[in-house]
Amino acid sequence: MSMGMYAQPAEAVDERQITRRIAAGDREALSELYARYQRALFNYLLQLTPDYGLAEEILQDTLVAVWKSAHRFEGRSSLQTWLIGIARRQAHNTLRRHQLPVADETEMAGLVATGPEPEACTLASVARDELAEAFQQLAPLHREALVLLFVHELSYQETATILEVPVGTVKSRICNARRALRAVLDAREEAGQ
Amino acid sequence: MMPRMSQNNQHISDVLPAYLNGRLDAAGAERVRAHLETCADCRHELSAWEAVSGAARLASVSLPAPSPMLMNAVWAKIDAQDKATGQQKSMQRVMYHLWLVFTRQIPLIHKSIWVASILVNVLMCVLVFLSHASARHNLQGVEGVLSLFTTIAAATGVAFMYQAEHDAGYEIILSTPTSIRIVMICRMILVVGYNMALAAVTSAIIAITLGGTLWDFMHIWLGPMLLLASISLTVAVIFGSVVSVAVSLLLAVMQAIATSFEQAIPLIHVLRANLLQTTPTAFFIAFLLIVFAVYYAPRQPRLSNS
Repeated sequence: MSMGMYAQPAEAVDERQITRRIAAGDREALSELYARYQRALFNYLLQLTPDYGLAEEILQDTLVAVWKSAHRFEGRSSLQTWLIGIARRQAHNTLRRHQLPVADETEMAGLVATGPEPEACTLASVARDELAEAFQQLAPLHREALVLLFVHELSYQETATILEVPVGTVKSRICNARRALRAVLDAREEAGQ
Repeated sequence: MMPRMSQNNQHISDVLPAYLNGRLDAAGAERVRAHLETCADCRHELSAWEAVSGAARLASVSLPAPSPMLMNAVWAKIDAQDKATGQQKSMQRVMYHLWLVFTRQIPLIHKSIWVASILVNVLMCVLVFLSHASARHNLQGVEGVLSLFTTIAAATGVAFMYQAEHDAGYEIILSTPTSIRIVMICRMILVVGYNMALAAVTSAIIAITLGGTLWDFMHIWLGPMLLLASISLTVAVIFGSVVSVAVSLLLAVMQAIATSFEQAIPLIHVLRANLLQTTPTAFFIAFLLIVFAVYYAPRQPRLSNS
């Protein structure tokens, strides 16, 4: 299991055991799970909505859903993948209910990058702070894919499972995200001149 | 994951993010390293992905943590849902209990009530068939007889459905915690519903035989039946079954009495014109009487309380 920058290797949690305890109605187990995954889940949710209060509401609903459906976790995916998958569905339900835009799966097809990008060396030379600011301006759809892959350090397959798309779509989406990041930086540069 | 890569100078862009995350197996990672040593394009590509990865991580570091009280809200939601589920289950239990009470009344109601209503309706059908030719010319007479008989059958049934001296199951009902009001409503629905169904079948048979629509015959008895049944129930609860039957018979006869008497006795005219017809007034008064009878019923002595 990978938790990326949220990894806590000292606490080796038996994923099946903790979900079994939750399924049996052990409240302490849900609190333990929350303590372990709260940052990972909340970070993910903040990629989907900039509204802190709404992200908290979705996180609450996610934990309620985990409480009710813990008996269905069979360990086919990692616990983190399962949890983020639930959070994503809760987020989409809540955003739709509030009539807010949901990160849409319909993106431009045929943009799969197969070779090196012409901007490859210039992106590496941009200051880190500037890159981070540009990242915040990306569309939720792009931020979501990049965060799952580079912050949560999930595999293509795990990311594809969460996003409910084929692996090829994940690959093309992160390439598109990188191009979008480049475009944001270019736009900032032009505006600065 | 086995990356697609280069033994033949093919670029390896799409495995670089996985390589960066350490998600390639040892052999795959070794091939990437070997390719990177010889391919400047892919080294630049890796630096670009490192920049993107760094941007995502740096942006995430500055994100706020959720409120420390968040779990309290989660428990409140879970408790509220548990409570709602509990209420839903208890509602289902109440509905099931009502259904049981309702169905168990069928064997408890005196059998003669079921039999008598069937006999009255069969008699009606036989009479119509026997006097087929003359009945066709005297539809009003047929309607009058239909109304009289079906109404009396229902009112009499109601009068006897709920009385200690005529009900073997009454003692049992009184010694259970089930509300007498619920029992009474169930029995009223059963007896009146049964009589209405039978009268509707009879009306349909007559309508087919003599011509006309079902409603032509149904509206003759529907209002009077409900009104007389509710009067019968009220009188039975207060004065007993015998008085109730007597009152029902009297009212039914007044309903069927010849028009010539109406001019002599204005009360009959008023009753026939307003109440002993299928009118909203008749339904409303029937409703009020049933409410009164249901309200009054528990005043009778109960064994479970003594």
